[in-house]
Amino acid sequence: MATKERKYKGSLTLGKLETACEAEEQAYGTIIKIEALGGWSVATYDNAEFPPLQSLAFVPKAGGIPAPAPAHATFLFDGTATALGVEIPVSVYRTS
Amino acid sequence: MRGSPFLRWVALGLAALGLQGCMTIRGTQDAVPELRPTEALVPMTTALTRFASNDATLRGGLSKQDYRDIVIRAYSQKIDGKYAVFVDQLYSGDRGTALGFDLLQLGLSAATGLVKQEAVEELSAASTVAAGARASIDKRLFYDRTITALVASMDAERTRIKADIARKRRLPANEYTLNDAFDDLNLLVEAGSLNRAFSSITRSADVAREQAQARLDGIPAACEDINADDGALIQTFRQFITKGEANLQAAASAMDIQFAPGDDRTSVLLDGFATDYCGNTAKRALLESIGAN
Repeated sequence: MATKERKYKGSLTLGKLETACEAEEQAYGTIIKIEALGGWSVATYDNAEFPPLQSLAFVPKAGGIPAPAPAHATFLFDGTATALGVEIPVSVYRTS
Repeated sequence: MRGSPFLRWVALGLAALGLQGCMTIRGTQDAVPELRPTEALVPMTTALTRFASNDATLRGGLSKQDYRDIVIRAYSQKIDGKYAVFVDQLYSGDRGTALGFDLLQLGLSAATGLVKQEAVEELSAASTVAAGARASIDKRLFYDRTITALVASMDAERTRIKADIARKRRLPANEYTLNDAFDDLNLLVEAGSLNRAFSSITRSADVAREQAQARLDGIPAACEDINADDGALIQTFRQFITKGEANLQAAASAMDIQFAPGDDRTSVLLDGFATDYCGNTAKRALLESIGAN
């Protein structure tokens, strides 16, 4: 079991960031953390297991309050992301 | 309250206006004068002369160490008292003064890091504040938050210095002289300074920024414009190289990767595929070359 960090440009939309992380989960394992850092988004992965394709959902939190959970989704963790240059809090879910 | 709704609102409005004219509620209890020395402090030069003298009668019969400690105690209490008044004035201060406005400007400045981004967004449009405009902002909230950060910084520095003095007081008089103590007491006075607090906070913010940047520089960047197909291609690659040693070696050969002893070879190949073969075309080309498509 090993963790790996990857950084993504802060100019991405939240949707593109989600797509990028979904793709890279296939190389590095399950995403376990997302944080905004220096204008980038940094994701941490754990290669203990590899999740299904396209099974992530990044949901922005408004005013620190989480949005309603997507249907048939399991909450993973809260974090922050840089999307379109703005640092935003997000909740990350695993969709089935 | 009985009466028409209109009159109720008028009464409430007048009460609110009246409250604005009242004195601000203090943040601390009244001082207890009996806890403070009533005599005037011994002037520093006199204290130093008495301390240095071998004639204990000049020190009221006290040893040099005991005399040193009494003088430290008296000066510390005086310094603490003045600091408490200073902080009280800061919290009770008029937000419209020049100091309040300057602190507001500093609070707005990203360089000091005194106000977090989410706090700014709560009060005004982020783009407006970021542009430095003096739009509809709650000046009181910025002032209070800035003062809180500054006082916390001053308190932290004062606590550090007082702890250092307390530690040194255990030393004999010839190792921690009254001269040394006065130097430390001057540091205690200087610690109650807004300028030093600003500098300290800015330094901490700078250090934090440098550490964050150093960490960021060490993290590899993902390919730009990753799409859903990339995920499927990476999955195909992973399934191929984990089927057996032959596939793993074929991939390593095609990618010109040499493993080091102890390498997690699958992870090395996956990392290479995800990082060095950006775009669907490059990934597909490699998969075709190793017969994995």
